[in-house]
Amino acid sequence: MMMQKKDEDTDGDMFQRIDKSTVLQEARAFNEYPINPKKCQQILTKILYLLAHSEVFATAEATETFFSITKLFQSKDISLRQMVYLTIKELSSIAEDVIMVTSSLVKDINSTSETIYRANAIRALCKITDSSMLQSIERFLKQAIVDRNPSVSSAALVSSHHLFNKNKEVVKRWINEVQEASNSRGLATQYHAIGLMYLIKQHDRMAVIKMIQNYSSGLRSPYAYCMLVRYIAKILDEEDIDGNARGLYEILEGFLRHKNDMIVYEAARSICNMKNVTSKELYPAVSALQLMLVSPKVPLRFAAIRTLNKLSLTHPQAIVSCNLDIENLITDSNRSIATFAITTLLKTGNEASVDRLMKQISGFMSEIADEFKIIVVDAIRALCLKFPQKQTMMLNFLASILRDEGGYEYKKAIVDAIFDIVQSIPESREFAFSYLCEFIEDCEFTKLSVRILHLLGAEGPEVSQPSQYIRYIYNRIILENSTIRAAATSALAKFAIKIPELRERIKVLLNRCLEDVDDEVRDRASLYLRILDNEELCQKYIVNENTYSMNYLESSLQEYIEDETLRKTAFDISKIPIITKAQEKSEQLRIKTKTAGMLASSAMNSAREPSPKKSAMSEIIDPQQQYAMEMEAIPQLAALGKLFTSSALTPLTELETEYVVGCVKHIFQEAIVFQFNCRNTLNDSVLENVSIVMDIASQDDENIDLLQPMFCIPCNQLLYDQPEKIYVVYKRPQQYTPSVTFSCLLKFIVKDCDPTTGDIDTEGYEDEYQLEDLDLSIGDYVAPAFIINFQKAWDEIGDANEVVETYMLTAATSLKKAISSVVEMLGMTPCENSDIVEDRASTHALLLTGTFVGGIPCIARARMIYESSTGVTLELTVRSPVRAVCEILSNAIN
Amino acid sequence: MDTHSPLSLYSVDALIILDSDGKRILAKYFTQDYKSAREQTDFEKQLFKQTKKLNNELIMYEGKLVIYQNIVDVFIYVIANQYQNELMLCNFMTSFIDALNILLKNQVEKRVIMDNMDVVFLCIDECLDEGIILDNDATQISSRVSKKANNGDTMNLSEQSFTQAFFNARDQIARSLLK
Repeated sequence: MMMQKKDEDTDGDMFQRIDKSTVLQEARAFNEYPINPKKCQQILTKILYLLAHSEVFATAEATETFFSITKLFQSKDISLRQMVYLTIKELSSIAEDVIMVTSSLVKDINSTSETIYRANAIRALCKITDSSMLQSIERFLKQAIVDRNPSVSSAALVSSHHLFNKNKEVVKRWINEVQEASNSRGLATQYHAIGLMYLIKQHDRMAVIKMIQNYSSGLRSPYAYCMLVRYIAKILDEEDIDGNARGLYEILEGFLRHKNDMIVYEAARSICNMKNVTSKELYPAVSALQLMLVSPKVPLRFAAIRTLNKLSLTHPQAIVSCNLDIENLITDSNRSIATFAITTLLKTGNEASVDRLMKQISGFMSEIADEFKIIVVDAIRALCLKFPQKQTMMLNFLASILRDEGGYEYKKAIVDAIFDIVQSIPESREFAFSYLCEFIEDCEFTKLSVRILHLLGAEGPEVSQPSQYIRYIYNRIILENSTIRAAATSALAKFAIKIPELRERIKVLLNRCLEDVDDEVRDRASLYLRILDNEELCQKYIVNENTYSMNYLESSLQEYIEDETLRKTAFDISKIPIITKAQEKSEQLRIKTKTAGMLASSAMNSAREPSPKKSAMSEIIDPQQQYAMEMEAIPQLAALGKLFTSSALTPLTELETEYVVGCVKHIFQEAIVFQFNCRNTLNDSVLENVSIVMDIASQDDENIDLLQPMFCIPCNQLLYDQPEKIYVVYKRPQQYTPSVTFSCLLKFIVKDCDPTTGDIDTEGYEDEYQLEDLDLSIGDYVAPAFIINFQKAWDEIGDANEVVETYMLTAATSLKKAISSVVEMLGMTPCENSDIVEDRASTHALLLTGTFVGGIPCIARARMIYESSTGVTLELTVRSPVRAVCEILSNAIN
Repeated sequence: MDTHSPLSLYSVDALIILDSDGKRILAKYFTQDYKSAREQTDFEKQLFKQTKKLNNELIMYEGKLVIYQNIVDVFIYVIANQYQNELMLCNFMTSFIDALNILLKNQVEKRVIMDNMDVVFLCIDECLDEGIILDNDATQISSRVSKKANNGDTMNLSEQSFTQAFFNARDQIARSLLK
């Protein structure tokens, strides 16, 4: 079993060749009398050792062992007793009927106050108990929380923290005891009490604020202070700054001057992570971090640079003052710190400093591990897109590291970076292609070669001297494995199709491929030779700008493979939506920026993409695509046609109410679908026949009768904590895009049910639940669109249908707020990072694009001026090929 | 509140002790992130590869904050979510190692750990409860770990019963005096 220990005779003897079945045999010793504490403790240790090495115990085995362990309660040996508790805790999740030992544990809890294992008994008891038993042990726990012994009190508090998730209501009753425990002399106890207190009060904002004010001085545990700092940051993040919050910020800032580094760091970090932080608020936090940057202690430097690195993504200008100190960290012996330093500098650097920085990086690259290099490459890619003028230097750098040794992930990152640069900076193409050609000459990764060959085939014919690439590509056909040969054949053919002058010469090469040993290569060659012989086919091939929606195709195929019944018929490709290549490209770009944004928010800090397969990719799946798939599964909704766009989820209730409801608005060509996500948070009731009654509450439109309710798809049964969806569908004439406010009412039959058994009463009664009003606004009719070059798109549409409107946004107290509300009202996508505004700026231009329902592109420019006396003045210019769309959008501001 | 939230007390995702070959001496995982034994060993293997050469004290690895220390022939790792405060975790790591030092009489090395596995298990149990830091005071932690039933052969039965008797008697006298 545990073979890893076999070959080492220096290891503890008893773990050599340790084996589960032998240990279970030995465990019979627990039943012997008198108990031999030493022997039993050794066996318990072995069991724990097996568990700590992921040995799997079957339920029966665990149960049997568990009950023989309970025999050991007869022994008075303290050490053995502690081991018994530990093993009980470990086995409790596997064994059955663990509740049986409750009485032995309770006995120990009630023993004299000097008993050292009382704390262990409490923790074990809470681990084996279930929510129905909790009431019966409540008394002991309440007593334990206020026990004079800090470890007992801590044990009770921590256990209550675990139990909170199982049974909130009971734990909430202990608030007074918890309050008392917060004055404990034990430092850790204080920390646990504060943590539990917050857990109980977390949804009551005023109570939390009061708690913070109460404890903001006078605590002794630094851990507790750290928690307090996090609570403050949470409150500040949630709310607009009002009187209360101001005071809280001052408390937070006060912590920056605390004498304990841990608390200073927590406060600085919290300020940096706040969503709407101003540069004035950032300043003291950044200064505190700057001091840590030069600390001799590694953790301090690490903590500071990690936080600044994250901050550099959102507020690069705030860090510029630290640049000098950060540059010194490039040579730090901790490579994580050095990498953070480099990537931070790449973010904050201006055009002038880039050259110097790149020189430093070149030296640095050879010393670090692959995954750090990947981060650096990503940062360089971002930098190159930011300063297109520097592309030659960047490409040179990328090409030089491409020649170095490196694993697949690293090389892939470089190739990806070059691909991106090629996509967004067309001038770089020739350079980039020649580097890539050189790379495939000696590339050990088939996948990369294939991708490069594909790119060469797709874009190579468009550069000034395309014939230069033919030699590189044909060399692959001579030298490489069959996969690459096939890809090279296709690439060659594309040159031939797109450039008639080269056609005859390439045909000669393709003819040679007909002799290839691999059938795929031969097939491709003969296919292309046929196409080349037929001018009409060639034309068709070139003008074909359409492709299938790849994500959709993939998921449909997957479904097809998994479903037995589907497989009986041939796969129907006509159901897959066709999109243009341009659309596909912009979609890819969008996903990429989204991923980059995600990395920015979370993982960029993580020194490596958190294994891309696992988290990143699954999250990228477009929610809209998911909605579309869900709705297509429902015949009534599938009949509505293709989903145009979906809004974000709007909550219609508070999060802590009995029923939690949120709504997503889906716009179809001739209908609007309101999807209500409902969740029942009461474990003692079940709702049946749940439907939503929507009524038009207000509108600013006399044609509102055109909007007609079609049908509602209710939910038959809403069980505790199992979210269900209810759909309400309205019919909408194609050109009609009203702004309406709906009132919404949840109607249902409520029945009681037993939370433990799940039995449902037969009797129920009708009830309703008022939801918050739901607004349907113009922004909901606009689908996000992504363009690379705003100016180009702006000029292309032209000013024929331009509409200009001016508004006074008196409610907006800053440009930031004005931007977010304009974006929300129009539902359009900000371009070129124009939604980011400097704090002190008084003017700003926001660039927006979108697609209006019906597939009409629209593009807008919002110029804003902020004056503290009058608020924000907005001049909105909208362009679109359709005049009506311009008018609707320009009037969407209210 | 989910266990990853920095607002909850759950702060440690895993505590791992590896030997100088990167093999597990023991490991406690408190989250579901690395569920199967396979995932765990893979993670440990990669982690060890990352950390064996340079004693960097802390790194980011797979989106996790990793604090580690190499003592003689063992590597001790504390793994936490990246939203955690690394200084707090370093502080915890120090107290854990201090407690081990007290309990193992300054001999934190593989052989001693293997010989005193029960003590190490109890020590971890007194530091961490399902990922919540239970205590960060090394003396306090070590004092809560009771010594072995019969501490090897150094103390024989009669000796122990004598000490026991002595303490009992002392308690009795103290109590009667206090009355």
